[in-house]
Amino acid sequence: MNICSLVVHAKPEQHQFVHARLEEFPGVEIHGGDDSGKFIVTVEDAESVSAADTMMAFNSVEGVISSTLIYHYGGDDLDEEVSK
Amino acid sequence: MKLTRRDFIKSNAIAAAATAAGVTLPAAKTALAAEDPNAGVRWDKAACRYCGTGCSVLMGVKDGKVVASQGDPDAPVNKGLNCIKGYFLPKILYGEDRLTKPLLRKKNGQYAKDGDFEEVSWDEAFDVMAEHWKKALKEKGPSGVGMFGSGQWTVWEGYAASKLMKAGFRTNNLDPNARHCMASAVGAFMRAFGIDEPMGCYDDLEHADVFVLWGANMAEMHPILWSRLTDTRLTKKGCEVHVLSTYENRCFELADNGMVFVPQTDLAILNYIANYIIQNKAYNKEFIDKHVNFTKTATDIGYGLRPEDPREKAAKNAGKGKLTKISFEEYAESVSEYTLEKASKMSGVPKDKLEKLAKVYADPNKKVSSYWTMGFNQHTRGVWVNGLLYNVHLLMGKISEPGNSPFSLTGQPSACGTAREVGTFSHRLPADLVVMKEPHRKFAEKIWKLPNGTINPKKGYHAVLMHRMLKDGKMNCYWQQCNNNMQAAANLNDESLPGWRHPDNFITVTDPYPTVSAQAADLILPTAMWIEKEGAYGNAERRTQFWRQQVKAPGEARSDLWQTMEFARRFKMEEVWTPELLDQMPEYKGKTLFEVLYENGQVNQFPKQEVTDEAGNVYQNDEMEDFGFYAQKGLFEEYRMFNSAPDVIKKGHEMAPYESYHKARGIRWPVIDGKETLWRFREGYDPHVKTSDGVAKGDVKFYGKPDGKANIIFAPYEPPAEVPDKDFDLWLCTGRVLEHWHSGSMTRRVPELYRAVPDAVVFMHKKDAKKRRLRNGAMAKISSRRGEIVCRVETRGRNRMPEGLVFIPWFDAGRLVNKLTLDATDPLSKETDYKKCAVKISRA
Repeated sequence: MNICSLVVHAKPEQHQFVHARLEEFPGVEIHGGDDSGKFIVTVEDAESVSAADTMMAFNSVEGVISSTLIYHYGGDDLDEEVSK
Repeated sequence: MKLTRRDFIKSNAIAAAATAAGVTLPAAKTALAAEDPNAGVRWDKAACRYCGTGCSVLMGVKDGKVVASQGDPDAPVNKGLNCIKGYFLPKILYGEDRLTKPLLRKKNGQYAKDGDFEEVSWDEAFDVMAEHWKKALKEKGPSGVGMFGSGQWTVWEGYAASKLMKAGFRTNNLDPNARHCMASAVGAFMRAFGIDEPMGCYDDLEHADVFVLWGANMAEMHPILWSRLTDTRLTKKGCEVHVLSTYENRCFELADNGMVFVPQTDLAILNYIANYIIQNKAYNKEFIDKHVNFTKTATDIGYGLRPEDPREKAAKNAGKGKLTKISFEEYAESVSEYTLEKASKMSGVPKDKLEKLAKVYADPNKKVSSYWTMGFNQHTRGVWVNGLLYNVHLLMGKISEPGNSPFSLTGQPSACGTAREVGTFSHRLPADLVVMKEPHRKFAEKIWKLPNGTINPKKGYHAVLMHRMLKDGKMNCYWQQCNNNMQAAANLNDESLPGWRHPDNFITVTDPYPTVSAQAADLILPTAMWIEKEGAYGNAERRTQFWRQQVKAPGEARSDLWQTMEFARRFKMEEVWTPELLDQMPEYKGKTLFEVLYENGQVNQFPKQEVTDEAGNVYQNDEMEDFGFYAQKGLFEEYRMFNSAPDVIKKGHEMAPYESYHKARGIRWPVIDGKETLWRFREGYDPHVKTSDGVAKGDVKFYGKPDGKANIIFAPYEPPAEVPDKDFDLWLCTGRVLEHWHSGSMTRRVPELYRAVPDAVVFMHKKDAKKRRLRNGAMAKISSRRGEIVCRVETRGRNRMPEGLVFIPWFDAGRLVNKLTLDATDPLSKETDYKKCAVKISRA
């Protein structure tokens, strides 16, 4: 099970378009960054597609200048309960 | 409230990305990260395993296994960012076919060249190997054995190997795979500045007004540097990006001035720029009067082919690099034939584009940073073309200050730190010393506690020559560590494979995986990779970075360092040194090479200790466990005597004590009084350039040269070794793609990367395809005078080819593009030109 976070840098004139396109990918959430054009994105494995394949597909989204991985977790203990 | 690990991990992931991007998010998104920033994982820094950028990554270990990774937010290089290959870093350790036992070719229980691989013990492996090495040493002398190392070796692995070969076996037959990627850059640094490696650093990426890429596809090969460059381009008013390549790559998407030129005509373009600067009197007269000597280089120098090749016979000055002093006027006269018209006609680049490029270099108010990689280095005139770019920067005085930077990028994580700095080239010793100079040898012999005359004054065989010597039966033992030369070296069919399979030769390959090389060897030694050992890399900006051992290697795999040192135990001094030499130091009689080289009171001076970080976490160190001393630290501290002792021959390479590097996110040499150096050769930045030595405030001194001046070196256009003709009518260029690193021995074992780019394809222009009745996706046969391969045609992919030129990446072990490539080298640097040979294509 994989969870990743990325910074996706979009061309200024295509912010909104890129935002919408990214959110269409399964397992993708955008957490902010619209103002600066640098989206804070998490990607998780989805039913039919792994997080890695999704991330690599970002590069071919029109308007994306760069897509940069920041954090990756690949352990199989994600559903373990953690006491607070 | 019930929470799962997922909640904590996700919050950490979001917080890390927001910090890296400088984006503020609502507190709720990152609240859990603030509560448990480690998410139950042990985190520690490491330098990335792949390219020469030298990103720092945080590796997360849980229960002895790497489970997570993160771009290191405290790293000045990558500032928390990570590229797609970084995602897969943890996975490269866990490929299904990891080698865990030594494998030897055997028949009927005995070693046999034509046998099949069988598992053997380390003892048997080393016994058989040592037997062959002893035989070769006896029959051929020191030149009968050789080692092929790597720019992916850790610093001490390279150093220990250099010592084993040069001091132990008394042969200079040691060369790194960096010969294939950096040698031209090294040659040009030494010729122009007398000291290796860039004067600038990555900070230039934020300081420059103009970026020029010369044969470097940074967008795919150095993505993190590319993202820094992109940031500057998009946020700095007036910032421009110029891109030159022989085909359109991803960098062209950001280019303000994209130029596709005919292969080899970069030589003409650079001379045109110099001519433009002179014609317009834009040059910095004060700078060149004070800091520059004008010279010209010998011409018609051949192509580094075998001497019997007609092209070598025809060359007037084959292999010559002699420089002759000339005046500024003579230099101006030499470049004057390279007019705009001529450069445009030769290169195929429109005049307005060339002029636009020349203007930014000639504008005294624009700070220009130039970047290049293999386009310049893998070039039969690689040393020349590197030098021609220095000429342009030197004419303008645009050098050694923030933003003005000619910068040679590297492709491997420690091409600089290991291959170049510790002296693993066939002519080098540590810290820029060379075997040909007696004072250099004497200095090395003193540090290594060797008798006078131990080090061989004769240059050893370089990478390409090693394969020729194997084929000719002149070198009989070859040990390759940490790279995949059977897939890398050009002309596989005619040189590499016949050399390795020659019945007289014994080939050992040390690797974590059964690569093409491993399969062509006689003995395969399984190794610990990357963070399975304590290590250090040095990146392209002179930054030395350390990491601790994070996890254990599988099975019986042991690190290259352990293997090199352990192998030395198999030799008595009497078997490798002459009696005359031993008589000088009778105390070495009866000892083993291991004792003389590694138990010399220096390498073994630090006793076994516990390795811990600031938080008190304890780390393994398998080599220390085995040898009983802190081998990495001892080797590094002995190596440091070459660059930091008070009596060093060449100043300017100083490094900090061992422990400093475990604490820092890398330190850029020269390190003086604990401080790193960002820009070399300029007062105010470089502590070696002082006003007390008569240098004006903020002025420059190129102290690598005795007179403190750099060389501008005129070199003309000369044609490549092989050009398309009626039989082989297309140019072939080889290289890399984003998803795979080098020969793919690591990245192709990551399922996601394999799926993304499974096979090498031939990128070609639609019209070229159509002419050959091929369409996108069809299978094509590509042949050269040396071999043929079959690939799928790609006319629409990420690389847009001009007519007449095709590109095939070299990561694919199933489609070995080095069956096609020619083993022509730069005659000066001996680096192969992988960017230019002639092929033909037909339907498969």
